Amino acid sequence: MKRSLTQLDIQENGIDDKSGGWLSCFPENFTSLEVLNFANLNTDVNFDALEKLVSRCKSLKVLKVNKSVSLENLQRLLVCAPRLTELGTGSFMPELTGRQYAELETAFNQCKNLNTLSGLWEATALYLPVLYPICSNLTFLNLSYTFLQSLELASLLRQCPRLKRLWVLDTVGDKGLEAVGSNCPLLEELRVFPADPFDEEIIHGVTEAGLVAVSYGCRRLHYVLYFCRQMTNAAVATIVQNCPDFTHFRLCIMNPGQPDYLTNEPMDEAFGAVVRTCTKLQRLSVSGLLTDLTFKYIGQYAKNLETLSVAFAGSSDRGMQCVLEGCTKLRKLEIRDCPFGNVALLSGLEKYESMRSLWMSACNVTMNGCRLLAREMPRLNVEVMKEDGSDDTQADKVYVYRSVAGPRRDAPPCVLTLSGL
Amino acid sequence: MQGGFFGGGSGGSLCMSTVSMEDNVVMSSEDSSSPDEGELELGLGLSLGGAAGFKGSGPRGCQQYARILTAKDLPSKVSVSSSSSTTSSSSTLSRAIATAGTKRTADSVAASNGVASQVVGWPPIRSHRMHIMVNQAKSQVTEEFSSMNKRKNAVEEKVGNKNINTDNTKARTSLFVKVNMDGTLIGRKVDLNAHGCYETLAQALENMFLRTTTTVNMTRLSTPEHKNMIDAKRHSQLLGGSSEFVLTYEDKDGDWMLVGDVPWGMFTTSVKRLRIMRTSEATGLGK
Repeated sequence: MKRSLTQLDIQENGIDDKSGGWLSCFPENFTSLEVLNFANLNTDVNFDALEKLVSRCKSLKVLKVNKSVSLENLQRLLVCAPRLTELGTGSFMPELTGRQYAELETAFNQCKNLNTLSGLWEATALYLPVLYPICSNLTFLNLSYTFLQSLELASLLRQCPRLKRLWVLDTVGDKGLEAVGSNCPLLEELRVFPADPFDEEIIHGVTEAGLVAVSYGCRRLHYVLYFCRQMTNAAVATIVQNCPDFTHFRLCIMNPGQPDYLTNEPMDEAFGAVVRTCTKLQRLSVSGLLTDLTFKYIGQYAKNLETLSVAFAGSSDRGMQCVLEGCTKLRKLEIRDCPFGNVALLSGLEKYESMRSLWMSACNVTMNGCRLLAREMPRLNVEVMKEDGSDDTQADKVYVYRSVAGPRRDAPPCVLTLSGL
Repeated sequence: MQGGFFGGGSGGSLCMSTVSMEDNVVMSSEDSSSPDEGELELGLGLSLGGAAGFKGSGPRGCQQYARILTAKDLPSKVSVSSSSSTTSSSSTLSRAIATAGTKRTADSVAASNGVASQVVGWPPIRSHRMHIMVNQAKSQVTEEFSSMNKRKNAVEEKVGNKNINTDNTKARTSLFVKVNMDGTLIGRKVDLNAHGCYETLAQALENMFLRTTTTVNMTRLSTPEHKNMIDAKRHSQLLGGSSEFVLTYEDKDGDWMLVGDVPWGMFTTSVKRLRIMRTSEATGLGK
């Protein structure tokens, strides 16, 4: 065990720990931990071991626990670690007695340095006030696992004037986003996730109105990830007019190929407005009904664009070509379910070596097209993944990236590496 | 390869279990026949919501009718949220990923629910986020069900966040408790699991005990003359000179407690029966 381990962050891994005893593996004299993040661990942890670890690691600044840690136990952890700057709570289910609630409130009150808060699983409005003492210093609030309604969010946000980053579920609705606009003038990043992504029957969630409201109140917004069920060209134009400094604009209209719901037109003009207005744009994700015109705009204006994600869009090869020709700084291009074929693929021959990667799935690219690419560009790895039952000539999923190490040797059997031969 | 679409995981790695449930909570008041207590023609409003004016001050001025008091009206450290429980937002829970009718296959696929064929890997959300949101939504709705199961097993534990297997969620178990009202000979029973929060329970009790068909019909009339008629009737029907009631319950320990202090889930695990008590008899609660 590294005696000087300072960071243990297993956040992004979908780990299923069978034994549950990993926390006890830290030896007694291990005190150097500064970051401990096991928020996405699916199993229970030994709380005693956790509490002891947190107690003796006096430099601990970041603690993000998983759902197995109850509110009652959270209080004990906070008491041990009042110098935390980032906290991910465990379950926030309201199950405390009056006295326990008061103790939790006191514990939060002691944490003067908290600027980041996440977790909050099963939190309801009932217990959110316990967070109020720390809200005024919060710069990042992650409520994306909390089913809050608009009024509940509004009450909380009134306490958070310094917020710069906010992640929420779309249960807060447009009204909740209005509250964001009203209460968080310093906001730079907003992510709105769908609570019920597959719901097609009942319309709820957020609409264009919510993001428009945010854009009026949060002029410093430069990062948005927005899942919605309806959008208009006009709304997007307004949004970028209010917030021209977008560096990351990721809009996901959840129904594939959906037009502007008011005019029934494609969403070309929306993204045209984005790339024309937001000159600093580095990352763009498009959605809705889009013709080649969108890509013409992107190629023409998005000169700083590095990452582009496209799905269910475009009319012909010309679309992809425009992007490859025009976006000089393009590094990552990922495309699915678009009518781009070999002509488009091969138009980027010269380009792919300057890019990190290209991903194309469910497009019109064929095995022959991929073989040609591999032959012409030996320094590219061209990998194809075929699907069961698909026709032999189709290249269902294609992944292209530059490599000086040659083709990978650890590819699973489903991955075909096309060599330049 | 890393990243994936938008914010999502790599295409095709979504996994959702099928949860099919009856729709939302059913108001027991829909089933209940109108009460026999003909003498009670007043409509009383059980108030648990966050309507302005209720806190601290007397309830009388806020409504045309007298009210059953609950914890909300009395000073307490932890205020009851005025919003409806989040269970109402998770009514649309029957979801599944359909096998894509297209040439794509999924890494893990659940049975189609037949409503719509959905595309694999779309919307582009990381799979761990999907798992967490789906499981949490499921568990928040099934919290009430689990409380019934735990009660049956006579286990004293806090309402947990255990994911209940889909068999349980398909058939909602009932939690009928007796309700008596002071001055009323015949008691009623109400199914607590038909409610996800205090508000709907209060409404159901109100409908059961404090509204006759006559009064209900009359309240539908919106003209001022009719409202005066109702008021007149009310005044003449007052019992014992008091029109204020308190909703209380007997808990596992045999103590009589004010309804509304604790979270709903905790309440349903500890309640044995309900009593609509006259405030004058409820010592220590004051008016």
